[in-house]
Amino acid sequence: MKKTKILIIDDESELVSALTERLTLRGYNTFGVTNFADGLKFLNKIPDVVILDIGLPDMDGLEVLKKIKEINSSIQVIMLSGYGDDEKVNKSLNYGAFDYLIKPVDIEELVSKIETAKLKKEEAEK
Amino acid sequence: MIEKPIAFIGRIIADFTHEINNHLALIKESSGLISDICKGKKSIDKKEIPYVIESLEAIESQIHKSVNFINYFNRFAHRMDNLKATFNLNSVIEELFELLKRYSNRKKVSLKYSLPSNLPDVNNSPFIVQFALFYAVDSFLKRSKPDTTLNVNATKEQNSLKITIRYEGDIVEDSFQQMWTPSSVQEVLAITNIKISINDKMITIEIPV
Repeated sequence: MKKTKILIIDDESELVSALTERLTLRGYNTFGVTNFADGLKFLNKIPDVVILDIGLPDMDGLEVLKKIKEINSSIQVIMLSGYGDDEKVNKSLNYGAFDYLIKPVDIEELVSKIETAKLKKEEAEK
Repeated sequence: MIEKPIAFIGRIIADFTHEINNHLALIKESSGLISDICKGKKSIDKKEIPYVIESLEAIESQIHKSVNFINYFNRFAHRMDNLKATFNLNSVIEELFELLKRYSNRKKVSLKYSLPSNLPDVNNSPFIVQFALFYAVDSFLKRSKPDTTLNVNATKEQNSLKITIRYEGDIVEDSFQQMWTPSSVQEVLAITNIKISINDKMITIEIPV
């Protein structure tokens, strides 16, 4: 069975490294980057799910979300942030984010969201 | 009049909690990775040892960063204990800038300060001085362009300490962000006789000594 491809974009490199490893241990094909410029290279491989930090150093997370959707609207994006304000939540959902999680996240909750997001991507591609 | 200082405190608390959430996220993922590796095993594989060591080091380093950051926040909170206190200008700027680092990093503006070593201590409200500095920094950051600099300097005048906050770079002329009116800020600063003057790219704060 084809492994689910996940791309993590977050400016905290140690967080990216730990999360990448944890998702890899759970059987996902996971790539982690710390900025959007590097993320673009992996977006060409069309990941199933992108886990995206809202506060990137080179581009606002909401702008990155828009770009990802322009590249391929079936890619599902789970926003990850330390923010908890409703405005950002609503904006990201309006821009097509699959869901929104506040850091620190529970790994099992994240895995559950990834699985549902993957199903949504498969539906979108049918 | 109280709404501006409250908004300032709110901003600092919001950024602080955001930053601490990020610190905790890293600690949680690093400890989670160790747990994932060790779960259900009596011993771990040799190839997994570097991941465990790396995670433990990340946790230790993050806790160290968090403690420092919390200490800055704690000192900031105690600046409100009394309306007047004797304080060192360098320390109130350092503390405020550490707490505003996330905000300025997000705007890609470098916050710099360089104060002469012979500045006398100040007897005024450290909180209101920080409020004035925040107003200056915030009003530039709201109109700033990326890769620019905010420079803070101070000089001793005859009856005052003069702090200048200079923005180096281009300004976004049509910023849609809501700015505080200088008069509403001046009203707060007047409580302890601090004066502020505002130019396009420079704000000056005068503290009586």
